[in-house]
Amino acid sequence: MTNHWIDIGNSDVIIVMGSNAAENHPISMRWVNRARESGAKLISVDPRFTRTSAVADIYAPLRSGTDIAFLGGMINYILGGIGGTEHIQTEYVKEYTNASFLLDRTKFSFDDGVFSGLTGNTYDQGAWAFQTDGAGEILKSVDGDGKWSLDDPNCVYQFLKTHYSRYTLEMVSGITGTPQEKLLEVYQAYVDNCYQPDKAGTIMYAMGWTQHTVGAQNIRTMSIIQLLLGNIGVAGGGVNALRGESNVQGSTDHCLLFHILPGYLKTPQDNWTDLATYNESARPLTTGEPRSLNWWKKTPLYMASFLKSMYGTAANPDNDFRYDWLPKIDVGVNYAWQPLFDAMYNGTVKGMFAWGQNPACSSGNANKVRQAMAKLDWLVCVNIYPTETAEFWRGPGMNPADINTEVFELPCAASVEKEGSITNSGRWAQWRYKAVDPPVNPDDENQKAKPDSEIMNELFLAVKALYEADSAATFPDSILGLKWDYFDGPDIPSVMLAKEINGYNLDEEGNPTGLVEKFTLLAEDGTTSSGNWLYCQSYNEDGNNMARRIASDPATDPIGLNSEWAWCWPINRRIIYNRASVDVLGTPWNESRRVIAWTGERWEGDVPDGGAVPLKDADGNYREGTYLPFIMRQHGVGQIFGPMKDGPVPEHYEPLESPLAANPMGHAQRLNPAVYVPPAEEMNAVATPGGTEYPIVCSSYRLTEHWQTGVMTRWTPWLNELQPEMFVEMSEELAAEKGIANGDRVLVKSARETDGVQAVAIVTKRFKPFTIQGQTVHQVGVPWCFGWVAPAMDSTRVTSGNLLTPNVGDPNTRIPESKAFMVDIEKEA
Amino acid sequence: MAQEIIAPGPSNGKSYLCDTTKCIACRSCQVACKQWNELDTVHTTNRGTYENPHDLAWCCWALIRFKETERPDGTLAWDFLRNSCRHCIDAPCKQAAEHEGSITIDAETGAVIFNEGTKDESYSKIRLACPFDNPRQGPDGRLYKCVMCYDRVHNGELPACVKACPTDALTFGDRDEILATAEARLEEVKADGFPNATILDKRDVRLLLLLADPASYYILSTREG
Amino acid sequence: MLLTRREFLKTSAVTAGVAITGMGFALYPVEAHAAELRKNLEEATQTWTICPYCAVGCGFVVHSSGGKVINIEGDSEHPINQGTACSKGSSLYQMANNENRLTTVRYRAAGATEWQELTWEEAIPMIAERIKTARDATFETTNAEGNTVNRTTGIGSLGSAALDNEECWLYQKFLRALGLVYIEHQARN
Repeated sequence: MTNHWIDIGNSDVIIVMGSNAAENHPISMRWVNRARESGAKLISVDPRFTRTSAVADIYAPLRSGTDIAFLGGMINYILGGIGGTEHIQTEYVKEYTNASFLLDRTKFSFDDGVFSGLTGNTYDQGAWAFQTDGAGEILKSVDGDGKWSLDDPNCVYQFLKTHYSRYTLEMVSGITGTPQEKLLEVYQAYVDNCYQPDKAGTIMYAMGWTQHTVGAQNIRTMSIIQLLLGNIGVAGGGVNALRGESNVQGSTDHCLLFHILPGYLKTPQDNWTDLATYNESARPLTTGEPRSLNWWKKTPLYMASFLKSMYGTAANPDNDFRYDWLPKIDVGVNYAWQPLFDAMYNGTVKGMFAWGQNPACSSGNANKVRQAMAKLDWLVCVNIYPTETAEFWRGPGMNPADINTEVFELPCAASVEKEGSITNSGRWAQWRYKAVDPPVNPDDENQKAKPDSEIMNELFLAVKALYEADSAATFPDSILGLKWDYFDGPDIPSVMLAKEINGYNLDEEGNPTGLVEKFTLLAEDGTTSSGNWLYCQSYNEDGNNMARRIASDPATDPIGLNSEWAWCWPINRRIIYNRASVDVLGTPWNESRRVIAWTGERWEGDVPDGGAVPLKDADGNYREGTYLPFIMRQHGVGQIFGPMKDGPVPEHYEPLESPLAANPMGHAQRLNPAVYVPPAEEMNAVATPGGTEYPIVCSSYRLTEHWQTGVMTRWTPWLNELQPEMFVEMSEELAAEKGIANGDRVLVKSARETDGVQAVAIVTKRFKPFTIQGQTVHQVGVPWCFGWVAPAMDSTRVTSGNLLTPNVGDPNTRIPESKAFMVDIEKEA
Repeated sequence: MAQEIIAPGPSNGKSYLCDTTKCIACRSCQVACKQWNELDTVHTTNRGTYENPHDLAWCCWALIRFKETERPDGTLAWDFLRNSCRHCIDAPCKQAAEHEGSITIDAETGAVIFNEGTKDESYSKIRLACPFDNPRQGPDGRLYKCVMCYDRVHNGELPACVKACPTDALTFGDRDEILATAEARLEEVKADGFPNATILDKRDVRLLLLLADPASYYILSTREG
Repeated sequence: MLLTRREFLKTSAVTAGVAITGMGFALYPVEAHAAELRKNLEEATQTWTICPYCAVGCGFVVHSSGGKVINIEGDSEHPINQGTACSKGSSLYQMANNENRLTTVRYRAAGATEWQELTWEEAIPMIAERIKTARDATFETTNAEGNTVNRTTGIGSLGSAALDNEECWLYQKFLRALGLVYIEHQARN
C-alpha cells in the first residue's frame, strides 16, 4: 500500500476491484465505514456478487480477466472521450507526472495490438525512450511560459487520449459483459468524486488483479487513473494492495525472491562481474530530468552495508565486500516459481525446502507441482500442521512405492510461541511477543516444535560443520565466511537479528559501535552495516521502534497517521509520495486532510518524501536545486507512461484461457505478447480459446473463514464448522442448463484436471451470465482453501481449487493466472 | 415463581443493536462466542450456502443467516441476520418454566439466563415458548442459549461477539442509549434509500434488529428457515 | 519483556454474579468452567501479538497461564482493529491449543508408505548431508560465459510470508550462503 489501512477512512470514494475486502480483509471495512460515515461511496466491481458487494453502494459485474478494458474505459471517461468532459487534476498531472514528456514517434508506435520493439515475446524498451536534447535531457510539451503542458501532439498525454479513445462504452461492455449504463455509473461515481484537488479516491486491490497474464498492467491501469486524478500521495488516496499473508510485505522487503536482495536491491547477474560494475548497472545513473533526485543512486551505500551484514569482518573494500560470494543469476534467465517447477519436473532440482508454505495446494497447476516434487531426491517441510505438500507422496493419484523422494517434516512454532516482527500491507512493522513455549509431544517430551530461527540455526551450523570437515569441498567460502552470531549474543536471537537488519556503525576493525540511526547515514566504505536499508531506523539507539504502542489522538492526528505506533518503512513515512499531496508551493491540496505542509521554513506532518523544499518559492518562481516529488522514480515524476516488460501503457488482452478466440479490440494480438507459455507436453495443457470443451469462465478466490490453502484453518474446528467443504458457485441459469440443483455434488474440470475436482454446487443469484460479443458466457468460481489432509486425511478427495488453474503468468512478475481460466462442470454420477 | 423479573435498575438494563446494514457476515461473532464460552464444534456440511451450522445448537448460540433476494429495482440483496437469544424484557421462556430458578433474569443487565435447573424443564415446552426458537438442549440435558456474556459485562467488558464485530454492526450498552442510537440510525438508513427500514420488536427485546430491506428478505428464525 | 502484567478485569465475577439474584443459587456464568476461566484470566499473563493470518496487521491480546494460552481476543488499544477481529482472528485460541499441531520430527524414506519418527538430533545432520551432497553435485563457480556465478540450481526454496521479518532475513542469508538462486515465496503463488 502506498497508504495504510486507517487511511482508507479519509477517502471520498472507494473502489474495491481485484479484491474482496469484506471477505478477505474484514477489518478494512471498519475504515471503509469510517469514510462512508463522511459521505464516501463504496463501489464493488467483481465477477461475483460478494459480501463486499452486499454492503456496497454500487455493484458492477465484469468477466474475469477484463479489468484493463473496464479501467481503460474509465481512462477514456477521465480524458473526455466518454461524456465529453475532461476530469483530471490539471496542475498535478502537469507538474508531477510524465504526461508532458515527448515520445519519440520515429521509434515508438502501437500497431495491431503490439508496441514497437517486440522480438519473440521480448520487448526492447529502448524503442519507447523519450525525446531528448543534445545534453540528454527529456523534452517536454511546454506552453508559452516554458511551463510543462499537455498540448504537444507527441506528448504522453495526447498519446494516452488516442490510445484509450478506442475504449468506448460499447467496446468495453462487449468485452467485460458489464452493462453500459453500469460502466458509466461506476466511472461517474468514482471520477466525479475524486478528480478535484481537495478530493481523494482510493483503490483496494489484491490478487484479483495480480493473478493474471496482465497482472502488473492491471495495476498500472489504476495507477494511471490515480495519477490523472491527483490521488497518489494524498490522504484517502493511493494505490493500495491489500496483500495476502500476514508478513508477505516483510518477506518481500527481505526478498525471499530470486530477483531481488533485501531492500529491493537487484540480484547480481553474471555479467555484473564485480561490485563496481554492479553499482554502475543496478541503478539508473542518469535521469534525463535535472529535478529528479533519483534515490536509487544511493544503491552502492545500501549494497556495501548489506554485504557487511552478510559477511561481517570478512567483507572489506579491498575484497569488494565479498560481492563474488553472492550467487549470481544468468542474464535473461528467469528463476521464478514456474521455471523452478519446470526445472524440477525435468529433474535438475535435487532438493527443496517448503518452509511455511504448501505448494501442493497453493500453486497454479498443482498436479504438475506434485509430479515435479516426486522427482526430488529430498524435500524438507517446516510447518505447524501436516500439509498436503509434506504428504504429497500419498495424495490423490500418487503411488508411494513409485516415489523416491525423501521427506522431512519439521514442527515449528506458531506466532504466539516466539518473538519478532511482521510487516502489514501498510508497511507497519509491528513487534509481537512470545506467550508460551512451542508445543511438546505429550507422549515424548524430547519431541517438540521449535522456533523457525532455531531450526535455521541448527541446519546452518550442521552444514557449516560438514564444510569445515571437508577440505576438498566445493566453494565453502560463502558458508565458512558467513557472519552468524545471533544465537550466542547478549540479546535473544530475534532482537540480535532485528539489530543486524537495522545496521550498525562499525569501527576500523569492523566492530559495532552502535546502531545506525537511519538509512540516510549509511556508508559505502564499510563503516556501516545494514541487513536491509529500508528497515534502517526500525531498531536503533532509541530502542525497538517496531514495539512502540502509542496510538494517536484523533484531535491532533485527524488523518490517523499514528506515527508513534510501531514503525513504518521507509523512515516511518506513513504515506508514500506525500510530497505530491501539496501543490508546488507546498500547500496541501486539502488542508483538512493535510499529510504534510510547508511552513515557509520546514515541512510539518508526516515524514516528507525526500524532504526537498517546494518546487516554487513564495513568490511563485521555480526554485533551483529542489526535487520533484516521486523520488524513487528515475525521472522524479509519476509514470503515466511507464515501461514494463509488456508495454509502456496497458492494453486489453484476453486471458491465456478465454471464451473468445480473438481479441475484441480488433487486432491480431489475443494474448499479452510478452507472456511465456511453457510446452504443453510438460503437463501444461491449455484450453483452446473459444473452444467448446471448457466453455465456462472460472475464477479462484479465498474465503473469510479459511486462510490461503487452509493449512492452518482447516485444522481449526470453529472455522471448519463455518466452511466445511469444497464448493463451486454458479448462476441459476447455468445450473438449469446443466441440470444441477443447489447442494448437488458436481465435478469441475479443466485442461489440467480432466477427471474433475469434487465440489458442492452453490446455485446462486450472485452469479449472472454475461453477454460477451453478443454471446452468453457463464462464469463460476471456486475457493482454493481445501485439500485432502485436513481436517482428516483422505486421499480420495480431489478438492483443491488449484488443480484446475494454469501456472502461466504475468511477464513482469510471473504470478500465475489463477483468476481467469476455463472449466466445464457436470453433475457427479 | 417466587421472584418475578427484577425491575431494571436506573440504567434500564442493557441492550444490543444489530445494525444489519453494516454486517459483512464475517461471522467473527459466531466464533468469538465459541471462544469465550468454550463451546464445542458442530459437525457441518455445505448445503449449497455459506450459512453454517444449519441451525442454532447447544454449542452454537449465535448464527448469521444468509438470504438472497432480488429487489423490485433489479438489484440484489444478500441480507445477513443474526439469530440468537433476543433477551425478551418479559421472557416467555421464563414464564413457561416450571422450576424456580431454572431461568432467571439478571437484574443489572436484563439478560435472560438459563441455569443448571433447566435440565429439569420440558425442552419442548421451553423451546416452543420462545417466539424466536432459540433454546437448544445439550447432551447433559440442560438448555442452552446466549447468556449475554454477562460475566464479561459485569466486569465492564463488552459481550465477546460485540467486541469482535469489525464493522460495529453489533453494538451494546445501556438500553436507553442503544434505543436512541437505533432510532437515529434508522432515520439515516431510511434517508439513504431504504424508506421501509425497521427495528424489530424494539419494545420487547434487548437484541434490537435494524433491517433495511423488508423483513421477508431475512431469515428471522429457524422456524422460517 | 517490555510487558507489564495487567489486570484483565477490574472486579471479581464471582462477587458480581452472586450479588445479582439474592436467591442463593448460582447463575450460569459463575459456575463450572466460566468461573474457572475468570479466575485463570485474572491470574493470567498478558502478551501482545499480531494476527498471523492476513496482512491487515490486527493486534491481539494473549492471556496465558501455566504455560497454556487460555484466551486470545482483539487488542482494544490497537489503532487498526481497535479490539475487533474477523472469524479467523477470533479463532486464534484454537491455533495455540490444537491437538493436530506438529510436535514430532517425521521422516518419509524413499518409496515408504508411512512416516517414521526421528529425533531432532537425528534429522538435522541427515538434512545437512543432503544439502551438501546436492550443493556439491550441482554447484557452478562459473557459467558458460565464464563469469563467476557461485550458485546452485540443484536446490530450491519456497517460503515464507508466514515467517517473522527476522526469520525471513536469516533465511535468505542461509539460502544465499548456500548459493541458491531458486528462492521464492507466497508473493508469487
